[in-house]
Amino acid sequence: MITIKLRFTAQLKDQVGLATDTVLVNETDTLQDLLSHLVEKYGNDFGTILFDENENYRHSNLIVINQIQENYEDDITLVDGMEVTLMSPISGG
Amino acid sequence: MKNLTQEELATYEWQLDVPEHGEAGQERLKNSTVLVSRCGGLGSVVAYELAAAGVGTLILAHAGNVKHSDLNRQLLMTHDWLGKPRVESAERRLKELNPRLNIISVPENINETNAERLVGMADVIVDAAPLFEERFLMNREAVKQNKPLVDCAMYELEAQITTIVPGETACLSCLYPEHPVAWKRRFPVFGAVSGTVACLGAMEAIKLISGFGESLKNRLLTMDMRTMDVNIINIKQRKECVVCGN
Ligand SMILES: [Zn+2]
Repeated sequence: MITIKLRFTAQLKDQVGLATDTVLVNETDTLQDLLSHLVEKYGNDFGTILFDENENYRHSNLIVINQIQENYEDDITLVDGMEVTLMSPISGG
Repeated sequence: MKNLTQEELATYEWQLDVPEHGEAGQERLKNSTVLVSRCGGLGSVVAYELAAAGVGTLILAHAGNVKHSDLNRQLLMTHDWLGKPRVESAERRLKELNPRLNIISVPENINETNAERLVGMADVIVDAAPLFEERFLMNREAVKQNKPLVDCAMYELEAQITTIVPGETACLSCLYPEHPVAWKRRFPVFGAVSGTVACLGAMEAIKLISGFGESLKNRLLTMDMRTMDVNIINIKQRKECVVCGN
């Protein structure tokens, strides 16, 4: 198992109730596996921000790994200690 | 190009000393037009800083009348103007600071009818609207008309800002290709948070117009004022973007 550091912003942070957390995943897990796992961990209200009713990823939620924006579909190798930030979009004025 | 008057040289004396800005940069500010929409927690402070810096013309688009709940952050709105139009309060306050400022007040929010025209009148757009619909309209028009747009946003103690330069950077629809579902019209806010990101946004606009420094092109600056964590995230254009893609 490897440890992934998580950061959340805005409404995703509100749903998790934490700005940061850590999660253990299998070494062979993909980014997509990680996000599915997080929906199980944090529940439906968190999940409906990330995925639509057909379980398609809502791309307006940004995925940031090591300060770089990644796409949900990208082939990302998870490594021990990696920091993954999930950001729901904000527009407050 | 209008030259600086003696009064303007005296007023901007201290910022004329900023390397790479100088009198030429100040003249560019004087001859520029910036669209700010809306003039809420973000836009009020953006407009105030741009007025202070000597931008020649501001287009202010903001509907509605001043309410009590505006006054914790919308710093161009005042208690004595409760119930009266927000753009009038904004204009009055800005003119107190800078009577030379040319203001085009539009008592409307950005919409499908006015977006093309208002963006067309500006050299730079500062997007400070609370609704994504308005933001996406300004973004679409900015890309279509090849105008730079500074996108400022905040939520609770979080702030974000990026600068969109059509042809060079990701646009707002690259960043958010689908309508955000979780965003609510009412959001938690301190004026000090919206004011912080507004000052950053004003500085981005000043740099773009004067022509110095590095703007936040393809970079999203994020701040969490709860922890004072500041990050720069590299963002990407989407080839399939409906606004700026091929
Ligand atoms: Zn785009």
